[in-house]
Amino acid sequence: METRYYPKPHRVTLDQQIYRMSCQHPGFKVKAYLRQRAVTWVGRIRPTPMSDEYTTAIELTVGYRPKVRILEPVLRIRDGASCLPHYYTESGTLCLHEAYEWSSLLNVADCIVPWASLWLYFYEVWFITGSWEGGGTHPDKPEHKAT
Amino acid sequence: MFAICGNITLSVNGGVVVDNGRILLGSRQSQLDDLLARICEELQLAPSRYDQAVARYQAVCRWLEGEGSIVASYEPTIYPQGSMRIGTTVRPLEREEHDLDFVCEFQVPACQMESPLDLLKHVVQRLREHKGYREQLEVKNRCVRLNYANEFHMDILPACPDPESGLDCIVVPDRQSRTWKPSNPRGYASWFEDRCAITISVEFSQRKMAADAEPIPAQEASEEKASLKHVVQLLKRWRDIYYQKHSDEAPISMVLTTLAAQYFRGHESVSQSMTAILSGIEAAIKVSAPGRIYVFNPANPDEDLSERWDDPEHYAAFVEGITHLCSVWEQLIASPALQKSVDILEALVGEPTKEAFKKQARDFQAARNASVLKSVSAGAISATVGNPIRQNTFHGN
Repeated sequence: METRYYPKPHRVTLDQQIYRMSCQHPGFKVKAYLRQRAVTWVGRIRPTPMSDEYTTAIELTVGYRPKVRILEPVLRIRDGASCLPHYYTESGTLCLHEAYEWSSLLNVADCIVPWASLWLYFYEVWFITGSWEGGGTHPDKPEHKAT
Repeated sequence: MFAICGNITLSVNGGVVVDNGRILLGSRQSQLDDLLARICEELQLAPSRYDQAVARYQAVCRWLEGEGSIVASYEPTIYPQGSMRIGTTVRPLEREEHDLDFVCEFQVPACQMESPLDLLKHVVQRLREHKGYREQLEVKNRCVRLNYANEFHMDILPACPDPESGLDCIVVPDRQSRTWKPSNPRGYASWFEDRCAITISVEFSQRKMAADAEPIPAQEASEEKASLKHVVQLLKRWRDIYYQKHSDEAPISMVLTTLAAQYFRGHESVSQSMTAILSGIEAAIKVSAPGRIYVFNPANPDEDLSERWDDPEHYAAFVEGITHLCSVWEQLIASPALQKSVDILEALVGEPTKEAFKKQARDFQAARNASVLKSVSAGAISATVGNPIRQNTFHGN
C-alpha cells in the first residue's frame, strides 16, 4: 500500500516575509533588520480612496505577534471618548486579531497589511460617526459600540 | 445605491472593487457618489412612509367620490405632483413632516363651473363632513391641506382639465384673485423624466469600452437615471440649510429642479452631474449679468417660475448662494483630507452625512464577514486579481 506523506507546515522565515512584502506591497520598505530575529517595515496605507494616507510601521519579531503602529498622522481620540477602539494604549499598537488568528505560518503581507488597512478604515468611520462598525471583541465597551 | 455583491478588493493605497465590475469604492469619485446616494436615501421619504402616504391619499379619494358626496358626480382622480411624483422628496430640516402635493382632478371642464372658488368650496365642504379630516383641515390659497401629525402635510390641489391648452393641462382655483390659474404637473413630470433619461454620447462610448473589460449588470440603467434626481435632492437640502435664516430668499424647489434638469448633461455619476449642473448655472448667471436669469416652466413656456427674482435682492441672494455652493463643491471635488470632506458634506446637507458613512461601513463590514474581501498590491486596483483576506477579529483593550 502506498504511504501518504504529508509535509509538516513550515513557519515562514523572515527572508520569505521580506520577499513577499516586497512583491505584494513594494511601497513598504524594510527599515530595520536583525538577521533571523526581527524586521520592521514602514509604508503608507490609504484604506479607501477618500481616506487619509497613514504612514504605518510593521514590526515582526520571531516568536511574537506582529506589532503595527501608525506613525503619521497621529491617531486622534474623538470628543467624548476616553481612548481609541481596539488599540493597545501602552504600546501604541493596533489590536488587529485574536491570538489564534495569527501564527508564524502566515504572511505579514497577506494578513497584517490588509488587517491594518481595515482597522484604519473603521477607525476613520469611528472618528466621524462615533460608531465602530468593524466588530470585534469587547463589544460592550463604549468606544467599541456600533450605534 | 451600490449594493455589495461578488468579491471586493481592498487596496493598500485606496480602492475597493467588486469583482463583477460594479465599483463600490474603486475611485474617490465612486466612493463619493456612493456616499451622496446614501445621503439622498436618508433625505427622501422612507418607503414605509411612502406607502402610508399612498394609503392616505387613496382614502381621501374614496371619501371624495363616496356616496352622498357633493363632488362625486365630478369623478375626482387624485395623483401626486411635484417632488412626490418625480422622486425628489427631501425631508424638511427641523421637523419630521414631509410636504406632499396631490392634484385632485375633476372630470368636468372648467367652463362648466360657475366660479373657480366653487370647486375649492365643494372639496372643503365634503372633507368637513368627515370627522377625522375636519380636524386636520386647513384651507390655503390654492389648495386644501390635511395635516397628519408627525407624518406629513398632504396638500390637495382641486383642479379641472383644460383640454384646450393641451393634453395634460389643468386649471386650479386661486382664492386671492378668484380666478383659474393654469398648471400642468403631469407635463412637467414627463419633461423631467425625459431629462433624467439623457446620456452623454462620450460617456456612453467610454462605458461601452469599460463593459468590454468588465461586465456591467443591467441595473446600471436605473442608477444612471437617478443621478439627476439625486442632484435635485442635494440642491434642495443645501437650499434649506443655506437659507435657513432667510427662508424668504430661498429659491423655490421648482426653480432648482428645472435649472438642474436643464443643465444636466447625462452623467451617470452624481458628483459629475452636480459639477456640470453648477457650472451650467454659474455660466448662465454670468451671461445674463447685469440682468437676471429666467427659468420658464417647460410644461408652460409662458410661466416664469423665477418671477420672484424680479426683486433684485432675491436674485442677489440666489447668486450669492450659488457662488458659495460652487466654491465649496470645487473644494470637495479637489480631494481634500477626509475631515475636510466630512466638514463640507455636513455643511451642505447636514446630519445625513454621518449616517451615510456609517451605512457605507456597514456594507463594507458585511462583505468582510462574508469573506469576500481581497487585498491587492499598492496602487493596482483590479477586479479579478488579489488575495483573499483571512478573517480577523479586532481584539484587545
